Amino acid sequence: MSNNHVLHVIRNEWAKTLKSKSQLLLLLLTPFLTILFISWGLDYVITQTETYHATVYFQNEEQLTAAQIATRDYPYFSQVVGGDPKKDVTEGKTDCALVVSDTAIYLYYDSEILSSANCLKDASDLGDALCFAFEGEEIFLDMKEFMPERNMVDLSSKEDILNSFLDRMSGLIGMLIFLTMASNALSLASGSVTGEKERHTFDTLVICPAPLRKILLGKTIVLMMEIFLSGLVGVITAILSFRIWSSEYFSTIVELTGGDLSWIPLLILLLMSVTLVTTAVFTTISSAFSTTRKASLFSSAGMVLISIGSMVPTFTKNEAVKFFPVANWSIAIKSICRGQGDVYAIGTAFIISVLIFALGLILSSVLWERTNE
Amino acid sequence: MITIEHLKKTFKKNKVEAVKDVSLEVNDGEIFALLGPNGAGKTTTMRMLSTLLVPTAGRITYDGKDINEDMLSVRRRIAFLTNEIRLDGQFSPDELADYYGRLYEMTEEQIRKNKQELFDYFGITEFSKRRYETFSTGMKQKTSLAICLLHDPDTIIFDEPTNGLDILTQRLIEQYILKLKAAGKCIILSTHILDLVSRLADRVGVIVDGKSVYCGSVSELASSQGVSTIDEAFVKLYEENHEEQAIITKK
Amino acid sequence: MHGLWLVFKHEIAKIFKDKNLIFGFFVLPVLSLLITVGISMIRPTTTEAEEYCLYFYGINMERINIGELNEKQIYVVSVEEEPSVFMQSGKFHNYDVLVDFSDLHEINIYYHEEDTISSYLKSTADSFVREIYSELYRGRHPEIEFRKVVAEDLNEKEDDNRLIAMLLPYMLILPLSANISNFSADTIAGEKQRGTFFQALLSPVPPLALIMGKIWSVSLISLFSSGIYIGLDVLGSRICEANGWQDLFGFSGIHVSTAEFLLILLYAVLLCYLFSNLGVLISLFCKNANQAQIAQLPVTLACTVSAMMAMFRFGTSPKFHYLIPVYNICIVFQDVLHAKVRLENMAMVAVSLLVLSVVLVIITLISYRSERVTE
Repeated sequence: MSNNHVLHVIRNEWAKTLKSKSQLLLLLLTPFLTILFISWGLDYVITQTETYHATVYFQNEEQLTAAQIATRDYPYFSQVVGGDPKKDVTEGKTDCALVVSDTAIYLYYDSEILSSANCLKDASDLGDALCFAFEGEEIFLDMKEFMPERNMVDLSSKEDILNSFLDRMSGLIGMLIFLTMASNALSLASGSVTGEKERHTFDTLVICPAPLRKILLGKTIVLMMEIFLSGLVGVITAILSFRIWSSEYFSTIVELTGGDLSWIPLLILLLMSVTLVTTAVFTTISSAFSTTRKASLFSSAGMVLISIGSMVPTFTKNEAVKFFPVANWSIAIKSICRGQGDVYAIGTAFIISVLIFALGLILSSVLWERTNE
Repeated sequence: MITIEHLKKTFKKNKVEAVKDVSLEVNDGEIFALLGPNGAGKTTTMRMLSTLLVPTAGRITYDGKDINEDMLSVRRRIAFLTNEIRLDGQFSPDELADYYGRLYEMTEEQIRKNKQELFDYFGITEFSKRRYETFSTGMKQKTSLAICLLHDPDTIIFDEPTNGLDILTQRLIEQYILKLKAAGKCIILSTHILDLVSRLADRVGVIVDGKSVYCGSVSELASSQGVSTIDEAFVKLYEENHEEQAIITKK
Repeated sequence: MHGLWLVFKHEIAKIFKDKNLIFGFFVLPVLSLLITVGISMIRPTTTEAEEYCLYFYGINMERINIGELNEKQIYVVSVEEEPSVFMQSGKFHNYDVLVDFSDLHEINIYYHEEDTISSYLKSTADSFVREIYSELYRGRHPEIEFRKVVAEDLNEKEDDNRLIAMLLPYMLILPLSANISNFSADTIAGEKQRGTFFQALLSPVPPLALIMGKIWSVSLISLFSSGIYIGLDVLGSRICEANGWQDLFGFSGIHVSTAEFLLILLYAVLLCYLFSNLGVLISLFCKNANQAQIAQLPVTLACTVSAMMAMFRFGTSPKFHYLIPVYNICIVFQDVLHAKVRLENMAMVAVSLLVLSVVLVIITLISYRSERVTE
């Protein structure tokens, strides 16, 4: 009989969510659009900054003409006669400047803003080539003949290449998935838990025969389901985004996992850990307050802390991190994508998250049952 | 003086025609009671009168001036008291009076004088430094009334002013309403307590299904319907004018 | 405007009347900061490299220091073992580079692309090889006075602001958008729910004054709250710096001039205003605070995403990026901290923000008349 209370509450809470179509849409659309956009955006911003814009400053047109034999291999270098190269560099009009004089070629750059290593390298190479180009085409071509062929041999395995991509993406996108889940959890928990007190419907619950803790359990289960759903949408969107915008890495992942679907339960377990922790945190905070305003304020702090927690692996390489829910996200994702999912670590994190959830539930019950002042 | 001509309000969101055709006239120095069953459109009418809602059609004038012409100056002269409107719980009546008094562009001297008068009358002075959220229902209602009347409005719109109050507080408010009438204020009062209507109101308007079906003096209400009491008159008006009920009655 | 100032004061007073809100807005940032610093105290267990090496095979060279990277020295070292053997040995790390000179006409440079250090050093190795051969070629033609390349770093600052420039937009925007979302949801939708919104609506205060008073109160409190977080972070760094302690706050060596600070403040104010206006606008259409918070989620997350994207921005951005709201503020912050801010870019940001602000105010005022506001 008592379990029916929980089921009734679950049904009722779901009915409330489904009645508010805009809320449901937002819960699902927000993670979808956010993750889709950031995946494209990161790629876009990074590629925008991989190119550079540099300039070669000549004293006269003759020099410019003589230099063509060298400059034609460097498309990112524009050429001007005259100008103020130092000023252009310091003002950011050009990433670096090669200035031709009668006796030397000066390479001006600003190390504070110059982040494209290619720019400095290419400028150095071009500068060197210009030294020979100005002595005539014959010398230049002879020098080119003399210069050995330089082959860059990348020793990285596909797995290693994938690592650097995952380093970048898993942490950032993972954090964004958390933020989305945490934001949703914040709003849902404060509406469902704190909202009862704020709307003065809490008193109706108190006097009904169902124990308050069972009502809270029902609400928490629904919250968990909603948060998990939004997280799942985020994860699926991330996979979709990789497929669309980083297809080569995606193929590597497929190759490494061997097309095996054993990563799915691991991923679900990982997501469940985060869901349990997020639900526990926000339900506890929401139970402690009787107005949405205060609950939201403190929940925001919880959200910031969770997102910081997810960044722990960037601060430390401590192996113990992989056993802790939320903090283990980026490590676990990398291992799953490499087909080396650590079941033991993910499982341990899941168990810890269950304990956190149980603790949160107990604490929430106590806080929620306090007299509504 | 307030004139309402063929007022209409349809809510765009759910296409509900809350007010279909309401026409009334309220004079200065008069208490006008607005009666009607639940969902008749009384509150919507009052919200339009108080400028909280914009009518879909029709016209409202205050002393001959259309409400839409200069809404801000209309607001300076009216007050609207309803259970739905609350005050910030963190502030004391003193602080609330200062705040709203300044919003109504009153001078400090006016605020002080009116505040003292109203607080003394309603017995709030003793609690004027305490937070509003700590008050009982009655105290809250009295405080809301005092704040509402602080700027000495010409027109006061009351939406069920004595709802949920004890008899003592009810009497206090009723006496104040009479005092306002004596001061020449224009008062519109909505209530379900017909006894209150017969004691206070000079004229009454009845709204059924968003339409005004009667507008006249209280004393003539019963006789105009061929009954002996206001209650019976009200029920008869409802039966004759409510669509479903009219069909049943005819049958 | 008379009513604006009154409403503004009243909204601020509401915060200071509530102990929980004072705690939430002003004390919580301090606690969040302490926890962040606490997390950063976690020490790594793996060892890091002490130096980086360019190993040269087939050429006899003395061990020479050719520069520095991330406070570690870069050395050129000759090796005698075959490359394939040497690379399997424990001496060759993922962050090192091996240059094989066994065939003088075809030089192989072995590196790990996935390792950022190795990826950077491969270019250094390539340039080094080129310089060796260029010198050799010059030696072949002693009669020609070839020009030489002289490099000069024009950066005059002792310390650079790269780290803060990367992080500041994100550190500012995340707590700011969370605060503003809460506050603006409560200031209109929450008040509607509690019934306290309508009393002010009934007063003769012009709608513009009422709305602006609320928007500016939200802006100020949120700006202050976020400012505490960042201000304490900077203070912490200064204290660590002054006492010679290890800096856990991440701002050591970062110096911002008064003018730069004022510029950052200006943009922070504009950003707060925009967020607040948007939050209030959304809040106008919602019946309760919870609904308003949910409706504001996309905005909050979009702003966070913009800040995240700015973290990956290096070098210069195309001009039109300075017109993208929120993202443009992030990149202008970075430009200010790099002392590379250009008047035209600043003007573009200012104009775009002002235009957006005006549009938002107009939309808010029009929306104010909607019956959904007073339903």
